[in-house]
Amino acid sequence: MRKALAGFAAISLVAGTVWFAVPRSAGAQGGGTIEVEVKYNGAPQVETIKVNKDTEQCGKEAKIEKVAVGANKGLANAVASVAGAKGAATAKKVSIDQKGCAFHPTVVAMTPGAIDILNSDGILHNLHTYSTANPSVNKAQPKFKKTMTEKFEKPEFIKVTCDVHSWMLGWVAVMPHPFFGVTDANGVAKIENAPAGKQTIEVWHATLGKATKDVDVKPGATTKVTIEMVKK
Amino acid sequence: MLNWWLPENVSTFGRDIDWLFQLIYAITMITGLLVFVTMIVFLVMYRDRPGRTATYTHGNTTLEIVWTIVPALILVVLTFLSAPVWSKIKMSVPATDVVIQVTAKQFNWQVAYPGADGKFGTDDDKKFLDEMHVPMNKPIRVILKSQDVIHSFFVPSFRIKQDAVPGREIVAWFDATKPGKYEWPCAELCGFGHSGMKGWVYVHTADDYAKWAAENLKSEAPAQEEKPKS
Amino acid sequence: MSAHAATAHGHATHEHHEMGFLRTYVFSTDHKMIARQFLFLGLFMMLIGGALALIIRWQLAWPETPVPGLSGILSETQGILEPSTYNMAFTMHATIMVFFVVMPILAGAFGNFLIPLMIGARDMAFPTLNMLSFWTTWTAGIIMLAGFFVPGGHAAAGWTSYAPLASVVEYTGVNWGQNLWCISLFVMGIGSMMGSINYITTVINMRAPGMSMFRMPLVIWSLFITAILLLLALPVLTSGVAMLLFDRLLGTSWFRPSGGGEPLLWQHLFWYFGHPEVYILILPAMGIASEILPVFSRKPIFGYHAMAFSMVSIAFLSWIVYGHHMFVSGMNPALGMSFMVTTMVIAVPSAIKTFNWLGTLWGGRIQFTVPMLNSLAFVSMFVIGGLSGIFMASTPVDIYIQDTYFIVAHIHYVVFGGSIFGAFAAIYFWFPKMFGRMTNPALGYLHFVGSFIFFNVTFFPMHIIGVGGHMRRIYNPTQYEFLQPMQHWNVIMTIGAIGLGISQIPFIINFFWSLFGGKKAPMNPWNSTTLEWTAPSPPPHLNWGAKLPTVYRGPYEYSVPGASEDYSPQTQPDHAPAGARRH
Repeated sequence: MRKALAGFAAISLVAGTVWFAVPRSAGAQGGGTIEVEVKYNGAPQVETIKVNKDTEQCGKEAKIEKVAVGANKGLANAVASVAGAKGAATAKKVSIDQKGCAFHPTVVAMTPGAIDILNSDGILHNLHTYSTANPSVNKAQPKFKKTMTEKFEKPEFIKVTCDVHSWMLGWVAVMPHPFFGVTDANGVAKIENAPAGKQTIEVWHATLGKATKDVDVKPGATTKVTIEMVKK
Repeated sequence: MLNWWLPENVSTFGRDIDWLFQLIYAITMITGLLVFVTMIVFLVMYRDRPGRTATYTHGNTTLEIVWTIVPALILVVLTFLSAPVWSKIKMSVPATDVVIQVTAKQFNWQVAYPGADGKFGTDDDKKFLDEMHVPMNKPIRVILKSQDVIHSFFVPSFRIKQDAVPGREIVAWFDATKPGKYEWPCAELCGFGHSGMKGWVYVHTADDYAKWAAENLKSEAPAQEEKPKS
Repeated sequence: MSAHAATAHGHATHEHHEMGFLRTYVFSTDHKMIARQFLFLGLFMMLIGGALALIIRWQLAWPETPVPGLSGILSETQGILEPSTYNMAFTMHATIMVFFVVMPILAGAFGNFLIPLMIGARDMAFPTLNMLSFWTTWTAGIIMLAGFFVPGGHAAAGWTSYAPLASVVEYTGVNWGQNLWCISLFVMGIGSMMGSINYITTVINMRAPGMSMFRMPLVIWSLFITAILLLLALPVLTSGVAMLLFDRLLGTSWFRPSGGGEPLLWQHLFWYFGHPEVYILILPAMGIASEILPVFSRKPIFGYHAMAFSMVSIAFLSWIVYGHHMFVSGMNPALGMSFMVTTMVIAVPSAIKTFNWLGTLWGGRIQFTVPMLNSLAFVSMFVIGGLSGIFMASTPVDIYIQDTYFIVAHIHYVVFGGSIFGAFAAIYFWFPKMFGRMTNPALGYLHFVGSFIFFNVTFFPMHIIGVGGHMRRIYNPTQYEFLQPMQHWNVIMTIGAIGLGISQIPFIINFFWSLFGGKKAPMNPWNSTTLEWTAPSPPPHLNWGAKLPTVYRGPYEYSVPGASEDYSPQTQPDHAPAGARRH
């Protein structure tokens, strides 16, 4: 069930990335695709917690996935991006859904701008962000409010929680440029249309921190790179 | 329609509180009725009718003394009856081996049992969310903390209420007398999620509690990989 | 110490020239015009506070359904209240009602109107300061209302604004709303300080010849004591909100434990102000009732000295009972014990007052006029509010009922049943003097009957659900299993509240219709004895003609045996051995 969900999230993410990468291709001439595979050698870190409220929507048990590891030691929910790249913000609006008392996707990446917060559960949630660059948000989202729109204008990795359901944990990665991707359940992220030439790929993970690797991006081709995260 | 009166009491000191409540209820009801009946009788008897003249008086010292002393005496008695109960509930904590730490946070009760080492804040703490299990007929000591704003620990059926104040550890206690599942709301406004911040307290018989503790409080195999606790 | 006080009043007769519109109606230094301004401010704010109350009640009876009439303002949710909006609604309802309705009407309007007129002075001691006091309060009101329009909404941490919920933006998501709340109360505190200094000075220095302290009407005693409480209590709040604002804007951490502060410090400061504040709200109403009951019982007040001294002792004791708001706050339980003792003690003077009011009715010739009915409502509702207070005084019982609707019932019986009925009584009673016109009695009766019945339908069940454990300040009671069987009470109370709101319509019509079309008022429509009724209705600038009244007797000489009328005004020279108390 969880895998299916994560897979779905990953597919939709990748699809989304492709979708908004295409119309922009005119801007960056002769960009290439980078397929980043993020690996992690350690064990997954998952905490389970018994749920005592809104059990109809949340279920009886919740999982806090600090480190989610998929097939081939692929690390999910890491953000890969081209370090120091420049590019215009994309017009595509991203969203996080609160469904089953969890954030879907767990990690969402976006260029500065607006993000929709959806409430599919139809119960009281609240959006509580912990940020330094952007103003902190702490807003209730009652059951009858299906969509809320927030703006994050400064690049930053923002932790998102819901204080009503304290196990809910998500991240919004606000990126300074459009060359990024979030790894799927198997640890793979695609950065489409990345500027060609020598680049540094940076990977960020909420629990494991950052790692970088240099890569030579060939125009019009797919460059594969594997980055290993180490246990902190 | 007549859904009222105190909820069922299931704690030892709750009986004392209810008794005092009923005593005050009786006193105030009688006083209130006397005042209202007197007032209505006066209003009817002394209403303005042709030919009626009002009595010219500025008061009566004896009466003044009486209605100063009588309420004062009643209130003194009430004070003397309330003081020991207050002292029992808030000024002393009975010795016990069940100590539970409750850390309130917008908008949840985080419950911790100390684990094998008997200390809080160590890795073997057993943590629960919005849920507390206690044995019946045994004093339970609750260490109340708050992570953010002021919350208030309130279990209506236990007649217990104590604020959780950030920066402090406040000790409260109760002794439940009947097994069951009791609602545990937060009673102090703590933000937009205040309404709905609640948990459940499960009171078990001694045997059931032992069973529950064996399943949930026992430390698992010590070889277990040390999880990084946040 | 009385006769020489008013003679030094130099500007008594000079410069009685016409003044322009602005000087007469807007920037007036005339205590009567300032009183009217305070009255209008209070009544206008009451509409806002009342509307907020109805919004709160709607949400409690039918949680998360669209509030009628709000779909335009809350268009995003089709008129459904969000939890944060609900918190804002009850916070602002209480703030507005306490600081911008009851205080301006009772202390501001009637304090200003009655003090000079009833002690025989031409104006306040410091007329310009008086004007400044109104305009400061008015500014505070504008700042408070501005908070509704800032992003993030208005203050939502309760009218008590407990730190750290109120002191850290992140905990509520409210930013400038709470800041403006602090600034507004700070400004209001300054205004109130100017007013109270003025009242105290006027009462001490400007009494007419013969008006000794113990010939002062009890309402003047009550306003005098209220002014002392205001002078000493409000600055504590003023400093408190300044500290709160510094915590929010400058990071001072007075109340934030992570910065070395102490959340309970706010509660100590707030309630050190807050408990005297309760008496600031109720004492003038007690005075008003003590004024009106003798007039319409046609008999002297029972136990004048007991009444005056009980108010003095309430004022004194009100400083040492404040801790009863904090029994379960984490304050040292030993302190709780001492505060229980003082709280029990303060019930005694209130009991004395009640019995004396009953004594005043005894053997009277009771006329059921509209102001009299409102005063009787004040007495009876205050009795209920007072008796329910005894539950809270007993610390063990308070553990259970603290933060439940029992408390909400108690404060509404004291502040609405007490202060607001007192204010209605005062408005009906002094309207002829204030505006020179009589009010319409039929509309007055209609207003009274509706208000009295629906008040009780609205607030009495709060005791019941409070005893059942219903917490205050919750957005949706149906979230709790143990409250679900009591939900029908919430529906009944809301219907009562709607009725209570509708019952105010005759009052509004009566007020404005009488203002322009009411019957012209005679000088003394109620055959009353006190000094204000010896001035024309409405009194001109400087109140009396060339000569100030001289006082010969106490304020409540009704039905004096052998007198030609059933009332003997204070200005009537004392030749018959009337037996009135003289000093």
